[in-house]
Amino acid sequence: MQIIDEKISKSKFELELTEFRKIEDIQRKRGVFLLKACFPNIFIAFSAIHLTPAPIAFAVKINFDNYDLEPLSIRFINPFTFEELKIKAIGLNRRKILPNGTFELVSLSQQDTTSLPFVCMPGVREYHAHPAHTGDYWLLHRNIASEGSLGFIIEKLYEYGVSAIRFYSIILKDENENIKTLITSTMNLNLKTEIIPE
Amino acid sequence: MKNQNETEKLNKKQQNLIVIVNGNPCPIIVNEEWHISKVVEDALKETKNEGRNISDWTLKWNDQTLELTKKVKEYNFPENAELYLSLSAGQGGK
Repeated sequence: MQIIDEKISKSKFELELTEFRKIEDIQRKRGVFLLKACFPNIFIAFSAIHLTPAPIAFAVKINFDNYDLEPLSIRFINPFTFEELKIKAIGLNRRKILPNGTFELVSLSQQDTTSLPFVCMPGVREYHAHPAHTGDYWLLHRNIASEGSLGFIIEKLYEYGVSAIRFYSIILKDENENIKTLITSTMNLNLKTEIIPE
Repeated sequence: MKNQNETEKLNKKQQNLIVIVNGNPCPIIVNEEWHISKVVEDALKETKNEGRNISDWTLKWNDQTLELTKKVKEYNFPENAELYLSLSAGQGGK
């Protein structure tokens, strides 16, 4: 629900979208491309460009309702239908750095109280709305070093989402969900596509 | 004549970089003798992003993190190289 004057959020939406468009071509070279922008939402897809063929690793809907009294919202979506995805449908891991300097793979997103996945990071609406983070107010972050801006969020999603992807890992299972084959390719995956006449 | 030569020498050591600060592009002219920390400071000042300590920021080029203590010339940046400067936020579990 929009509780502040929509003109304010809309002007900030236009401002941040204009900033993005200045480097739209540079972002596309990194696999970050704008799918659609229509207030209050911006739809962005992230592709793993080091792979061949280069897949769309994930896509998000960034929502500007009440921005920037409230932070931006990030929802993971199907890049073709824009339907919001549940956590199992994302299937993307990121590196979590451990105190001893090593890392483990954890899900890029976490599940919130609505069972929808969210990015657990200051500057994101779902993070600040989560019961575990009620002490870390958005207003402590707002307008400080661009934290929570569209550019900040895109950079973090790129960094943790696709920048480190260097190979395919394919798991084939039989009808009983038993793993039959695990294939880890290098950067190139030689896929053959056949058109089968009906 | 000597001053002119020194000026030319100094100019040769300069190059243009584009530092993208949290999505905001900032073209800056750097000297190859500068430390990377100086590049970061200038980019943050230019884009009015001075609210956080410099150690809170990460500068990357081609997805590689640059060391603040190294000099510009050590990285052999091409002209108008695109560097990404972002807050080191969201490292959950660190």
